[in-house]
Amino acid sequence: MKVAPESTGQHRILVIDDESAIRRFLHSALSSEEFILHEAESGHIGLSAAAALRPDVILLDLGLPDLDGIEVIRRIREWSEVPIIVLSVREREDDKVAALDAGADDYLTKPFGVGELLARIRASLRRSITQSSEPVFTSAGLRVDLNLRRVTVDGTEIQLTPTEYDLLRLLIVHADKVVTHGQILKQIWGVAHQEQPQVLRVTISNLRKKIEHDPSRPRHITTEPGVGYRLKQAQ
Amino acid sequence: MRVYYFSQETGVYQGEGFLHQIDLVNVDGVTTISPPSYSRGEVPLYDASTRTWVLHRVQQRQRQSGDLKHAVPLEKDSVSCYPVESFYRSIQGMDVNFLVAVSRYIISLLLVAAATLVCEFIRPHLVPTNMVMIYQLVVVIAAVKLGRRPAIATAFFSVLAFDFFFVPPRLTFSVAEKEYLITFLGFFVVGVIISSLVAKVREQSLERERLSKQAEHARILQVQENLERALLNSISHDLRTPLVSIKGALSALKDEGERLSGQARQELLETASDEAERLNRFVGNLLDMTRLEAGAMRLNIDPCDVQELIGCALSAMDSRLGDRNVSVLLPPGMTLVPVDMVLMTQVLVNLLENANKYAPAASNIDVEVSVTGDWLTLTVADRGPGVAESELPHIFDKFYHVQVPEKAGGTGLGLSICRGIVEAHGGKIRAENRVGGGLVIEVLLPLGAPSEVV
Repeated sequence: MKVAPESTGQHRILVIDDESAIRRFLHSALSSEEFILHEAESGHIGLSAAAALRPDVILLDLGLPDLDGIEVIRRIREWSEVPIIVLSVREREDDKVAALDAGADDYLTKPFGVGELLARIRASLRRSITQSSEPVFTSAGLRVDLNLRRVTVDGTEIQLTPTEYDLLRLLIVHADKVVTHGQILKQIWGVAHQEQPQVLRVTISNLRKKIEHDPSRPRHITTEPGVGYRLKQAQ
Repeated sequence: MRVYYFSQETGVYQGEGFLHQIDLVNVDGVTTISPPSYSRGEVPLYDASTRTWVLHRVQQRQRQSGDLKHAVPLEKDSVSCYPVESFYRSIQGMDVNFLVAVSRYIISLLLVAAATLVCEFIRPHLVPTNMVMIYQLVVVIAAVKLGRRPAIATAFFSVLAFDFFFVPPRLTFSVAEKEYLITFLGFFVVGVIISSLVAKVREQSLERERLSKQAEHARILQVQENLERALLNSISHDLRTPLVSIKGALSALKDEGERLSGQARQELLETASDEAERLNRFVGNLLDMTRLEAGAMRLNIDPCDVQELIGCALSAMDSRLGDRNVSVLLPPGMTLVPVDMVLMTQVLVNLLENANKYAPAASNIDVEVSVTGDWLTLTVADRGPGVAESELPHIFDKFYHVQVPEKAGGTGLGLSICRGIVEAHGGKIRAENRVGGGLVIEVLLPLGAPSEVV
């Protein structure tokens, strides 16, 4: 296998998918000055390619013939923090949650557009480069100073309860990335509250009322039905 | 107890009526108890080595082609002998004809015992010869219900019982008066003649019943086949139409791309992209419909914020709604409703899509939520042409297209999926024409947790 030289500045993407048509489409769509694409057609080949190539991002299909996609994530996570974006179909929400909980960074629902895919890849790369998040988060009128614990919307300061602030902070740390219900409940309320999703619904609803212009059409905190929440960062 | 014949090769049952749990099944020559209940898309196959039924997942087309070699066993539902009473265990594997025969002779003995009991009660009031009529009655019953041979056996047992219990000297088989021997002989001969005649009539009527059932079955199959053909035509049309546009647009770009203007290329690309999106939605709908019909839709019920639910649907519809104004009216405070968020978002998306398709370009779509008692009401209202009163009850039917000539292009699945999902939540969905023009679709959902999640 050919390893791309570090000096070119191209990011290495490893695609693990058994469908040759999808690998071919991704190859044509992504190969560019910015990215160099490597392909693996099974879970086992993908695992050894991940170790040999040290890719910057992995695109992983969950429905592999030889190895469960969740298992691939677990094995990679034993030794690497490389961003993993999962590709899955709409009906498999449980699989997506399991993949995210196993350590995947994000997911895309098949079929997807290239624009959407590029946005996810770039967001993952950004997160892995800037390890510690910035002390100030800004996105379309929302400004959160994590040092001063100050939240402003269009310049007006907003008062959040400690739980609301912790939740917002958690989403900011994982900006542009899905955080599952389970992950939020565990981080904010502790393991004991894992079975009580309504406290999360209530807190999200209150938070949206304070930071969104129209809580029926949220721009900042978006819901991924059946999976979790994502804080969008407008560029 | 009835007997069914089951072929493991083709998954076909033969027998009368519905299979009941206490019926016997002859699986390719081996007799066992009935399989556990199973739903559409599944078939129980018998494992003779472990004496268990194992549910297998099976494709409709596998079932139709009569090939179950590749049926996939369901792990969770590997069901051992059911019901597990020892009687049923003990009869597993025995010859089915033998079992049925034995059960008939046991019934004939019981009939004679019953007749004897009746005679014992009336003994003080009648001379023994009159009791013969009561025994004759059970012989007729046996002939009607059990067939010829068990009826003859009943006549034989009756003679013995009559002699033993009622002919003096009582409680012995000896006979004091010789004329009773004539009574016995007469009784037995009449019993045999009645048995033969009744059995013949019984066979004829069974045969007639079988034939009429066969005719009815054939008629149902014909209706089903017509319906399936209509569905298949509709589906293949809906699948092929977008494919025609996609293939046409892409081949034009591939073969003639050089000659086309920039604008034309852009239009072709947009056509292909839009039609691919339509195809994707149709396939999604088709999968939802299939899963709903197969009973394979598992509800993942959680308390959901109604506002959040509407937000998800609006964001999924964002590109299709374009500039259209959707007004949302919610009760004050937060309303939590126990639903499967993914599926209920799909319901709202389908309702909004429907409203968007029929409503005039500049008109509003109104989404309104209210709470009355234990029910949440969610309405989606448009200012489109509405639906003729005669068609209102049908718009939730599968593949139903409202008669609006210039607005074709729906799949006829969206609303029927809505109904399937809402009803799976224990809710109701209905449509009515709106005062001032347009259609209102109303979804009622129970606010209390449905019983299945408790």
